[in-house]
Amino acid sequence: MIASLRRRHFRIVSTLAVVIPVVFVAGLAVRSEPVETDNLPTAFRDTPDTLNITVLDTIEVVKGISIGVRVSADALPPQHAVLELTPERDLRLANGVAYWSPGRGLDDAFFLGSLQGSRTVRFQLPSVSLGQEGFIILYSVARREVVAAFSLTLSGAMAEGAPRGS
Amino acid sequence: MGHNYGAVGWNRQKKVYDTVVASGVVLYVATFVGINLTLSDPPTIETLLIRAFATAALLLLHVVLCIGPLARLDSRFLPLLYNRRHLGVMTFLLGLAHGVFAIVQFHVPGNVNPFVSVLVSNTRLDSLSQFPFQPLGVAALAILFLMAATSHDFWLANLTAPVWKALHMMVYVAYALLIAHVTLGVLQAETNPFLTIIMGIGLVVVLTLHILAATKERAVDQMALAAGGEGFVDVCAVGDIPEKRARVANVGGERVAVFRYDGKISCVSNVCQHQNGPLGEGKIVDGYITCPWHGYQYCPDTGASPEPFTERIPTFQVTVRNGRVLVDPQPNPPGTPVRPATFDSDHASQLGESP
Repeated sequence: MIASLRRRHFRIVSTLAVVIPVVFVAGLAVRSEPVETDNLPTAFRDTPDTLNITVLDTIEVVKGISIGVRVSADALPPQHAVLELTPERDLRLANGVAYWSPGRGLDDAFFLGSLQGSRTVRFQLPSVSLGQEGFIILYSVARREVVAAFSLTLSGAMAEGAPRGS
Repeated sequence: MGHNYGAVGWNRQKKVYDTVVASGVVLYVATFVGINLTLSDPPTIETLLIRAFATAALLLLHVVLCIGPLARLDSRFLPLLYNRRHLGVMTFLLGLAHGVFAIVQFHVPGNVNPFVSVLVSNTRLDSLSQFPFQPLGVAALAILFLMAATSHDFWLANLTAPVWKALHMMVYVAYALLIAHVTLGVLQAETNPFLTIIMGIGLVVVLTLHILAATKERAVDQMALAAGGEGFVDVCAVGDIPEKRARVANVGGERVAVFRYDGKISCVSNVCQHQNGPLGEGKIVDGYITCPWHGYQYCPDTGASPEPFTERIPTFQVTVRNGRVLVDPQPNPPGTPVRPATFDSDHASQLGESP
């Protein structure tokens, strides 16, 4: 290269040799801790079939895609309730997550976990969900909108009624 | 080589080169997708393709950036320089594929134009962890597109080598944008340290190679040359120059190449008119100075390319005195014939001058 281009090359590379590592390190330093969602009781991780299970209807929640809803619960106290969602195929939610909420909004909602693709997911339902009417809300973080909501009422360790789609 | 457009000068070597590169890309993508599909909880095919194209593009960009300094440090890497622009075009194509799949997956389902969405959906400019990383990727892709679109020699000739080279130096800006795109994007949520470590290693390798090459090149520019009388500069001894090879020196702020061949000494600009390649690192082939980068040739005593080619490089007056090569720092206009200085084993001096 001619001298002027070499000097420009040197200036560019020298500047980026400082800027790039700073951006890289700073970007890593500001990473948030991942939200822990693996809070399922041990009993529900491997042998949920030995417990009381109520299979609810599959309901159409997202763009013609049905989702299977199943609640598992301890037979004996202390009672834990676990919600199992099985999409029939890829939900295509942009950064989809699930909440349990006493109402249709997210104001007092409890975060359940991530909902992506077509794999079955299981979330432990909050203890407040037992014995009161609530809603399962599917939310897209990327698009910042509620995608679907259906009611889920648990009485003790048993789920009652069929969930109704939003 | 004129300023008229000519089709790509395909030859067997280029075809083999491109076939190998394309095959490597296909193999990489297939392997990446295949391995991930064997995992217990694989992502969707679309997600895997997004990741495969992204990692392939980033990996290839690192290779492209390393070729330059490697060639400076060791001439055995020069063959990689020959078709480097083909790798650059492939990098752009892979980045484009990644961008298209990502826009389709994340922005098409919305009610906003997806191309607008990718730029405006995230307005968190006040947060580093949630910074809009996607526009950074778009900006990098735009630079790579500019470079790919002007990679043909047609643009090199019409933009002139210095302008073209300055444009293609933006690859460093694209690299910085991509590092930021990845760091502020996928690395914010990726818990597996593998990608972070690989990125860090790539960054360190690229920067280290550049620093080493710069250090080596700086030694040439800082070489102090003694005055040789009558305005000439003492470059080196005749014996310091191998036969059919050159000695590079910094004379008057620019590098010159002093060639020795058949008992003669000629001095020309070290900068090839094609892509500013280092002529002094080439050799005399069939009586012509041959650039080590792409084989462009110049007559050593006129600085002109053989017909029908029209490239010209500046020449310099040169003389040999007491076995020392002396060069006049004032360059002659490109293509100016200069009688080569001659020498014999007894160090007889003769003056090389324009006829």
